Amino acid sequence: MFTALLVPALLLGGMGLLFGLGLGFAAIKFRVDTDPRLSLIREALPGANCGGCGYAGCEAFAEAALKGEAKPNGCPVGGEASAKRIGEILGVSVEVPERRRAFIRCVGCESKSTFRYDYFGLYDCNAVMQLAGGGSKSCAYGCLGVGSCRAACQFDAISMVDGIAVVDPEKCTACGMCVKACPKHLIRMVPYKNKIHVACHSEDNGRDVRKNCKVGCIGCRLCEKACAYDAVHVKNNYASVDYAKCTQCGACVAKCPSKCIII
Amino acid sequence: MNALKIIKNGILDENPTFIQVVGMCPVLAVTTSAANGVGMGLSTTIVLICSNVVISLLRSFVPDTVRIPIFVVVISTFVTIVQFLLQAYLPALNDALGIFIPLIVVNCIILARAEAFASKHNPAAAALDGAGMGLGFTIALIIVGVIREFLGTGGVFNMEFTPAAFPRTIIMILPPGAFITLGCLMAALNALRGRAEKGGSVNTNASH
Amino acid sequence: MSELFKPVSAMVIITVVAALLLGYVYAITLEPIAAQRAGTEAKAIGAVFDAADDVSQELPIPEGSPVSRALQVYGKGTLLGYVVFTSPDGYSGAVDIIVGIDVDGAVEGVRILQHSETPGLGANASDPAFIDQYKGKSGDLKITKAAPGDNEIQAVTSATITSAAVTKGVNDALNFFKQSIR
Repeated sequence: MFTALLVPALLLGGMGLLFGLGLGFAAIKFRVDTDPRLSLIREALPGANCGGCGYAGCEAFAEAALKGEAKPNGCPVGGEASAKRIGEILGVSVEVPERRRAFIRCVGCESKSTFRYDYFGLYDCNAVMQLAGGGSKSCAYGCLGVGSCRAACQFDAISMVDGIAVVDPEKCTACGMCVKACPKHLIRMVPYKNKIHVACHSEDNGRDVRKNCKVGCIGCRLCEKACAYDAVHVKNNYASVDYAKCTQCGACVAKCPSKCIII
Repeated sequence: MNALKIIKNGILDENPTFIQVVGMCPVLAVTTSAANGVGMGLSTTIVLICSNVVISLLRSFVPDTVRIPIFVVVISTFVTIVQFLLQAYLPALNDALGIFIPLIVVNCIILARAEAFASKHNPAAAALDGAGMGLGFTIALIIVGVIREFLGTGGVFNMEFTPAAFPRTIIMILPPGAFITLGCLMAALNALRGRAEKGGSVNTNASH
Repeated sequence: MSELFKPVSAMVIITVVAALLLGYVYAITLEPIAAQRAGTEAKAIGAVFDAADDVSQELPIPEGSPVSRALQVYGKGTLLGYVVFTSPDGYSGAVDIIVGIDVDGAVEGVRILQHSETPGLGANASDPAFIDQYKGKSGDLKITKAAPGDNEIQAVTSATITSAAVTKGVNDALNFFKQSIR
């Protein structure tokens, strides 16, 4: 029994010794000195690699932040927590960015707006746009409801309700991938705390809008007149809210005949 | 971490065969019969649990430079032990699995779990993860094995119960059959998962 | 140099412990493994020569012969025949077979000891429907897919390679008999 144990032990132990030495030397010879703060910064990031910061991933953002090229509060997903932590690691003060969320500027759902034709094909809004008339929706500015934004969202914040996309403000991390994904440029980043938004950006005049959609903005200016704080303006035939001035009183919401300002 | 959650993770959410798609070699090669699939699955599960526990116990002692060689030494030790035990007490299974027993050493699942989980959690959690992943793997093997054996030989677990008129599609127990079965299963499972995640089929205004 | 201590000591300790464990398990399973092999063998020989009670006499094997072992089979003191061990290459590895040959040089029976052929295909070579075909044959055998003639063996459906392997093994055994025993 003893010899049966001795030979394997010596053999394997010998190989272990050899390889251990080899690896040990290799680790010394090929060592790469990295700033320890780099891995600390990376750990402070959420690790979703969504690209919302504008860099190629969390690792790239960490490197840029270390070099000082990227602001510590540059990660919209990590938000306040990561901004503060990165500021701590680098020893710089950090302004906490305002929380934002994506908003889809369309309420022209299936029951309220018309379609030119039925679409059967690739489940990608860009694909639908290639077809005649810039897509199946009668309104050229309307949400197609095919879900490229939903597919782009890594945080499960977008869902399809009655044929158009809707963002869940609680889940949205403002990474910006959906904004890039929408071929109609429907999606805007808006401040999280503002609850009043105009859900239409159609530049068609009122009559054309009405032909295609019951709830589109017709540019009637009733909201502009109703606002006591000069926070709503109609430009290019559609209304938009100035978030800095809006006090969220809701007067415009009540006045809008199309019911396209939502709260 | 919740014990049930870890096990459920291995069987459903991160099933090594259908979701992670690791360790596919034995899934294709060994599922010529359902019994072989079970044998391979259980052998792998035993190795997985043992190596996960040991690697978890060693996690604070193993320096980064020699992490991988040590994992492989631990895994191959357990595989060799399992092979000796099979040769001694279950020779029929040993012959049936043949060269795929030593190949458990390089089964992706084991090294992947060692690296991703066992080296970062306590032994109890590591053992549960090993059990969960091993069970997920075994279930996958059984499903593929049953389908291939039934279509290929008209029976399962070496019991024939279909009449002679039932066609025996020989290709199912040959390598192409393995790929076909696996491909169809993964397509079906992805479709089910896709439907469950997105909450119903995508609406492309077909009602107009 | 102290940086080397940790990796080297970790490697050496773990490899030595692993080796000791393996050595131990090897030592305790040595007997059961040998017993398994002996058991399968004894059963197979008994299946071919059911009156056999003594297979201790080994015959010498010439150099380069495909045959690995040959034993004289005695039953109640009478020479019943011979048992020849050979391992022809099958579809997925060697197929270990024993060929029982009676004193006149005809096949008494064939048994497959160990194989890794495909279940449902090559594995069916163990079925009596196939393996019993060899009984009584003594010539140079060939595989055929149709109804077999005198020195022909009908292959297992879709398992020609395994069938050919077994046939080659039987031919090797018969050749051994003709050259070394006759």
